[in-house]
Amino acid sequence: MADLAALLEPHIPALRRYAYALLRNHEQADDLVQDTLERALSRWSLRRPESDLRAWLFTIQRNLYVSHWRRDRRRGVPVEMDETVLPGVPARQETTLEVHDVLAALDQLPEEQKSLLLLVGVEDFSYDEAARILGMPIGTVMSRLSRARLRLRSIVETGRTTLLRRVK
Amino acid sequence: MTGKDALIREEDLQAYVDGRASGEQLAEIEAYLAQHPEERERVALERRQRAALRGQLENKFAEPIPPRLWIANIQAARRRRLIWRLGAAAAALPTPVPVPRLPAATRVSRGLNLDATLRLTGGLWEGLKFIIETRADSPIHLHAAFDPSTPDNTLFEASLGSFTILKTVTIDTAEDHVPDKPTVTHDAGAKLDRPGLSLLVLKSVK
Repeated sequence: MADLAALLEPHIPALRRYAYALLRNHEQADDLVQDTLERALSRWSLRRPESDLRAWLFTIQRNLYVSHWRRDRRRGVPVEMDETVLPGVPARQETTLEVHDVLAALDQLPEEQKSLLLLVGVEDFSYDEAARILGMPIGTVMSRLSRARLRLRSIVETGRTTLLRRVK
Repeated sequence: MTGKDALIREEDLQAYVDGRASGEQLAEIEAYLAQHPEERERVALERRQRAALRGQLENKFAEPIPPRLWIANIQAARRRRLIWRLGAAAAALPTPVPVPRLPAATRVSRGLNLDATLRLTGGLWEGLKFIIETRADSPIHLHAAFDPSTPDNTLFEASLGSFTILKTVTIDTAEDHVPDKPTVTHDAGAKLDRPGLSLLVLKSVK
């Protein structure tokens, strides 16, 4: 089974990064990744050999998050934010105001747009791959991406005006 | 310039933000942005936000993988759960059955004559369902050996004695479809095949 570890483990850091960006809690993020890996092992023999392993793992993880994790979170399972960002208070002073906490701003987007920005913008998936992972047509990916970035700009913009008012 | 502008779509600008534009497309986008300061500023902001998001997640990516996510540990936990289930299945049989170790088979077969010993070798045992139907009044011995380093040498063996009643043992090794308890059923009225015949059905869950 050493070969399975060698195939899967190189993808774990990226899966953890995606899980953390979705859940914003280190412990829960690792729970989600563990679920993903267990599912991948139990489905290994069903995997089409020609399919891309990284995209396959991200598809599993995203589906698990949507079907189970997000539901639990909405239901009110206590979620401890590891990085609580108070409104209008920049997490890190050295970064410019307009981009100071994109990760926190991301939380205000719907899951689909959030996942899209993470898959394309952070994990460097192609638009085609992102479309397959999210189960949407490529045209939808392009319009959602544009809309997600527009919303992100306006959220950060609003955050900045709030901050400026507070500073005054 | 207006004619050229018409060629630049929002999709091109997104590709530019993602660093996916190159060659002629990139040159056209840059020419367009040079003429449109508002768009230029917007696209530049989106690029900065993209970079900022990656930057914020950099440390997470760089963290070492915690032991509970090591593949070897996840596999070991899966095997422990499987042994427990097989132990429960063996305990439910009416005749003394040695607690089996790990079963493994990837082959799908049915209607095998099991007078002697069945041996199946295969890679991964995940996602298989074993249904053993046999007329037996003597012990059924299930034995499986799982070799993690060389999964292809994995053995599943079942040896069955003489048969008078029907037993069905279902051992579902698929994580997602596993019943709480493996089932064992008897049916004394089952029609007899020729003496000494037993049936083993291996079903893939999917």
